[in-house]
Amino acid sequence: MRRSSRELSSRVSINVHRQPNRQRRLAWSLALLAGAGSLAWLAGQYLQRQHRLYQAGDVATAHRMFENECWRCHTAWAPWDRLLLFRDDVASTTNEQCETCHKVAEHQPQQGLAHGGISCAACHQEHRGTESLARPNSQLCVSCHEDLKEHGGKHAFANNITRFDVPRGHPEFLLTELLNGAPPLTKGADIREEHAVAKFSRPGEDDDDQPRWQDRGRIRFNHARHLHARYFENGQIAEGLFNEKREPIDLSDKCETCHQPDAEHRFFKPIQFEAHCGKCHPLLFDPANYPGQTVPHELPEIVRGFLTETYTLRALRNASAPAGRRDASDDEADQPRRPLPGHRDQQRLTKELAAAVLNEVNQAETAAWEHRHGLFGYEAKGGCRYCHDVEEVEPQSKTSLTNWKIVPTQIPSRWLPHSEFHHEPHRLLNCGVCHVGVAASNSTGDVLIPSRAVCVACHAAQPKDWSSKWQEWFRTQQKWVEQREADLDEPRKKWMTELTESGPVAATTKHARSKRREEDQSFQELIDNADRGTRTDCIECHVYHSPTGDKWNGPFVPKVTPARGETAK
Amino acid sequence: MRIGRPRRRNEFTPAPMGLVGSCSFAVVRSVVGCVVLLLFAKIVVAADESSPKFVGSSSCAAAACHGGLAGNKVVGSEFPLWAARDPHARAYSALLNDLSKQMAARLKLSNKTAHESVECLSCHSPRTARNESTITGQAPLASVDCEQCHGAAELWLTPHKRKDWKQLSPEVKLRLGYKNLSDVLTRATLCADCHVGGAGRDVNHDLLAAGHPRLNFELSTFHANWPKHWPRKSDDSKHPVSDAKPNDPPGSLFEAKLWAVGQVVTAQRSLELLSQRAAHAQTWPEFSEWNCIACHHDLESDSWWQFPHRKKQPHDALSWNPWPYAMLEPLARQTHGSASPISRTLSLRLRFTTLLPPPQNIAAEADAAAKSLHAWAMELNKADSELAKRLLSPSALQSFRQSLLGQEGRQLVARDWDSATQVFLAINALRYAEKAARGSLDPADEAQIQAVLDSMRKSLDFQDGYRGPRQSELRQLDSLLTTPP
Repeated sequence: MRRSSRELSSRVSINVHRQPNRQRRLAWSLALLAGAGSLAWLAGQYLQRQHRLYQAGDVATAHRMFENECWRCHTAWAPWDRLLLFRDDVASTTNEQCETCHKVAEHQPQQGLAHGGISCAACHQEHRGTESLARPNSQLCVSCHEDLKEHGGKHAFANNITRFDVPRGHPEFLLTELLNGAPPLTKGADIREEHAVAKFSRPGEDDDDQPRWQDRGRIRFNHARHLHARYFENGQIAEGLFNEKREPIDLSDKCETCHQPDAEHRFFKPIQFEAHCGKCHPLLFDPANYPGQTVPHELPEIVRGFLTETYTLRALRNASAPAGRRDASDDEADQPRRPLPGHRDQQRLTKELAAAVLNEVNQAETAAWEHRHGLFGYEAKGGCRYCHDVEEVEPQSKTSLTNWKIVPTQIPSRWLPHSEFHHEPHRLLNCGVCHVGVAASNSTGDVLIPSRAVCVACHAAQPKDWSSKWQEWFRTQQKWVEQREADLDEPRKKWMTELTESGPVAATTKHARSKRREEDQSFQELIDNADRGTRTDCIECHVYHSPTGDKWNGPFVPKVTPARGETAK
Repeated sequence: MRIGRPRRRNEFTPAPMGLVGSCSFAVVRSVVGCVVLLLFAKIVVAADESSPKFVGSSSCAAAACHGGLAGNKVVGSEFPLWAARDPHARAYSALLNDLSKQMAARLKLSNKTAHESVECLSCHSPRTARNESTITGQAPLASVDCEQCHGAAELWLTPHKRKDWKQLSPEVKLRLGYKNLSDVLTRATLCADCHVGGAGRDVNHDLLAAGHPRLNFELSTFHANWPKHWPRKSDDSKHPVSDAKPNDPPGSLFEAKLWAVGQVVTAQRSLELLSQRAAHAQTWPEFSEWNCIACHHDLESDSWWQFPHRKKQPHDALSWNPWPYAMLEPLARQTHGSASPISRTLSLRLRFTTLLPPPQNIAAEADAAAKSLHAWAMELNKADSELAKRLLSPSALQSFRQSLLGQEGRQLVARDWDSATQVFLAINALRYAEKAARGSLDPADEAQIQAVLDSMRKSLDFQDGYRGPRQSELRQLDSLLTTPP
């Protein structure tokens, strides 16, 4: 069928060019609407004094002093790469600009190789006002640590960390794992060294053929005995340690008697004999002749030197003061020697006196290092051997007659060297709340450092968010804590029974710990009712850049696999 | 042989005695002996201007002379007593001990060792220092031996063996080189030669710093503690109380004189040494002229040295070495009633409140002060001088002792350790002096003195391990002396 041109032209309105294009109109109207909406939004934001939309936020407080000097940080023009090429690693602030002021240590030597360099600004995000630049979000850490890639070597630590308070989200503390009998994770002896524990059997406490992981410290200290106290029903102390007046005192919540905080209130000062032990355990050596006088808490050579001096002077004093002149002739025998003030008369020991002095020194030395005298008197405990391991050795030389030495105590000053713990914010808690079982510890081998379970009691998300798996995990941890406390309590109960069998006191008294639990929140209650939600950010415990500058993330030196291209050892 | 001739002549002297009657034998013999000795001396002195030579102590130590072993009796066993007990006998061997070796190393002595250095030997063995062999050609016996004090025996050894030796006057003996050690002034001067020092015998700050003990010389105390090789009574009997009544017990002023003359001579020789130091020393200021504690004192805020300043006493931070001069003031007040004999010394004291007093002026002033002290010592040494009697009589001694136990002593002990120690030594010396002069001392007095001395000594003794006064305990001293005896 052939259509005429007229028919064809009638299909299109003659005014078609005058009719509007709906699509275009729609597009236009949408575009205008979007533009108007945007303008309105801008205007609204402006009227609400919200400038963040079109203007970067305030610089961090630390950088306020050059707030208006953008060029201090911004040297490169990055929007092209960031907006169009979607490159997040490019920043308009280069690392060099940061490093003009901040010289920091690397996080991990291989990190740079793996990621081709990482920008400071990637974690320390500026223009967020008062948010601290030094506290990057944990997500930034997790973005790598949830799945750490290995590059031919092995990771020093766990390679999938997601969050602290989730059972599998963070590894257990290595210390706890070692004490629980788990093999050391990946590393050799240096880890154990660093964590101040060692696998050995403690003489007199453990079976020789059953070495166990325990505190490596070679000193004897019984927390249980020092923290023991019992009360009469009327509140008076029935049993406890004794003070100088031989009255019972309760030290069970007075840890600060010995553990005194350092200047920063972060950790604790080392225990010092003179300040913390010597008052009750004096190093008496000859109470008959020198009541109350003690040998210095020093090396065996110095102790011997002190004793030699003391007894020599005594022998000389006793030998001198004759009625007349011993060597005088008859003529001047009645003439006393006239004293010359100043230097005491120089005298020498005769051979007999010297032998007697040597004997006295030996006796006093034995008394000083044997543990047969002590607490405010000779009958209790106070000699070197009472706390220290003493080894007998051959005298070093003819002049040095010391035939014993003290085994180095090796008391650790830090236990968890990879974390940055601070005691000060935890000051409202009783020590025993975290250092579980301290009041029941009767062996130096007991490590009383909290496990992760203790931390998570507070440092966790709200309970309702917990998965059943987590709760199960936590219950096992809790059981472990209870079991440990019970284990520690066992010998203590025996000891307490022995102690209280001697008198009628036990029947009518309460243990200091149970007494206090009536008043205080117990650890169990704490776990049950803790106001969880305390921060669990990585930055709470870990540092990214080493504070010392030379090593990353604490003093631990990992056995890092060499860079790519070299063979792994 | 210059020596041979007079000796032969001496041997011949008995020959003409046969001509003399036996009754007058001794008198004649002594007269002749005197004549011969005088001749002998004149000949030798004329022949050789140099001092007489040493014969060596082996010449004295024959068993029949001074080398006998008479048990604890003194006469006859002088040499063994000296060799066994006298510290002077060990003066040379002290140069061989460890301290001396260390000192020699510190001082960088020219001869490297202490026992070869003139600096040390001039006191520790003066004869070795002079590098002089004995008259018999023997090597000299080192140390401070007989002839160091009694005089070189070249001329007097032979007459000394004679029985008439004792009849010779001290002046004659002195002319032969035999020193009159009964004379307190001579004895004091002799001791001070080394124990205070002089030209070539200078224990200066270098030596002290190297480790030499300080020469805290107090004649009376040193003399009392000195193991003597002569009977003590012989000293006493030569210095009797001059105006004693017939019924009084025999008293002796020897102890009192020894203390007084010793103090003045020590000060005099110290001044002479100061003059030497100021005139000739290559290093001026010589630090040992100042009080040790002016610099070497404790830095504790409670230090004793700082105490006088708090009390606002006229006491400068720098002060003159108080040891030799501490007792001059009370002594002058006792004998002169004023400070006239020590006015020059007192004015010199002010010079030492600065660290750089002009040495030329110091030398002249010290010489003048020493001269006046010497005159004073001469007066004190005379038995019959009016001046000496103001101290050297039983009653004067008592009043002086009381003043030292009272106000006079209080002023001194408040000054410094040196002065306080001198007061201590003086009280003790005067106790024995008074005892010797009166024959006895009131037991109550003696007990009181002993109590004061005991408590003073507790404060004055250095604490164990310290080499100087350290604590502020000295401030208790003046309270000990407040109560009048």
